[in-house]
Amino acid sequence: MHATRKKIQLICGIIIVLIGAVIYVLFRPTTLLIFHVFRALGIMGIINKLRAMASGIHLPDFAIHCLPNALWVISYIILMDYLWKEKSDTTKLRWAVIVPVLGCVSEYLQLIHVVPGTFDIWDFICYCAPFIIYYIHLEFKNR
Amino acid sequence: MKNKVAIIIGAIIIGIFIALGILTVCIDPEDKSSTNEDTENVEEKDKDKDKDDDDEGYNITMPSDKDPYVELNELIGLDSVKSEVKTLANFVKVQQQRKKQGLKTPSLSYHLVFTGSPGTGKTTVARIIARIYKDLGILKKGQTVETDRSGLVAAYVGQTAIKTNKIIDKAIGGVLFIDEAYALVPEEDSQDYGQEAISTLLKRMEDDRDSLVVIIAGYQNEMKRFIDSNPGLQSRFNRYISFPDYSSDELYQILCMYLNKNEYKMTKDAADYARERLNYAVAHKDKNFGNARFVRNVFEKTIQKQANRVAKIKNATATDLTLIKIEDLKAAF
Repeated sequence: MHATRKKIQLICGIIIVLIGAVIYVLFRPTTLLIFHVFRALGIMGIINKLRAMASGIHLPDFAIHCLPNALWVISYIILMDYLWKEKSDTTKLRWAVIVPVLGCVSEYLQLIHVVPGTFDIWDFICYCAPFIIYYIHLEFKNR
Repeated sequence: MKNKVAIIIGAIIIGIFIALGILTVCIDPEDKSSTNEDTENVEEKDKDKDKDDDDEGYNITMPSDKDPYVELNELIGLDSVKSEVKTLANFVKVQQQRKKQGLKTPSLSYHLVFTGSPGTGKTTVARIIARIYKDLGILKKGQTVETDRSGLVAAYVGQTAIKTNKIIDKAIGGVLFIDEAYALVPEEDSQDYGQEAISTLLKRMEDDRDSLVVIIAGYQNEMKRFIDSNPGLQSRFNRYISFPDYSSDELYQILCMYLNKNEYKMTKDAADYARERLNYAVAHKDKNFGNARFVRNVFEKTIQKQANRVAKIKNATATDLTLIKIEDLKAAF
């Protein structure tokens, strides 16, 4: 039972990261670096077909610009929780905090124009919120 | 040991997430807030805002709800063009029916070359064709992205391909209309970045052959030189539609159309004068004669002159406000 739950956790982590990637590929502008990689790989034709197929789907702004980041952080935390399942909560938290912190740092660097991009408070929240929720979850679990 | 493996896997996962972060960085100087447009949801755009003017050398015209065949028929003059477009549409229709029946169909090229002088309706017909293609199921969206050399070629090495790809991305599912396409290959400068734009365009025409139609337009001789300059262009652009100059009668009809649409009327004197001046303009036209664009300019100048005249009238009546007199036109030609 426990092993099945863990497997589901792993699959969820992978599916969530894929959902975030699909949003990027189908709905974000093709000026992103990833599309230049697709072009170099010669698969931009397929990507464009998929994008044309998805053109009838209307996602809200938040879902296009912020949700993928949140999904990736959630996925990362799920995977870290899976990987360190036998370890203490402190170890889990130490590992789980890495990507949210990197995300927050990149947003801050965008704010001070050190890296390309536009600072968005919602992106910042999307990086922090999953970790905070995870922390609260571990705290409650131990009570 | 188990711990070490877990650390390695953890590090790999972190690496993957960092790579995702890097790959999703925008490498073109485009604001995050403007990315809604790039999701290319055509229907999302305001239908009343027919044209999306852009500072970067292109316009996007969204397909209107009007029947494209009706609109084609309503165009003044252009009989040969109408006939060509209808033939093309019928041919495509029949080939699609043949395909459904399991019969052999020749591989079709939907790319077109429009040749003709400025103001002969090339852009208008390109927009109509985009909608006809959409109607026939060849294109999903039917938008027209109108550009020229300035929208495709950048000033620095390596930037042209990015710029060209960006515009092509916007045209996916519709028509990319390149006006004065011959300017991509200047007669004298062989080191020009226009070649980079052409190479990018040809590659994308191949990669996106099911979702992109390209229409190139320009003067007949220049377009011939342009297409002959590159075998890739020769093989892809083999369907030509020639746009003849408008006759003076047709130009007069266009002027009347502008006036009627905007609720103006000419006096008989003014109408006679307009005919006479249009006859003269057509008889003495040069290569750069603007055809319908010339008439549009005349119309705009005329109504400005009329406004100056009417502004002096106290309590102007509806007739005063709508009537175009010979003096208004005289100042415009």
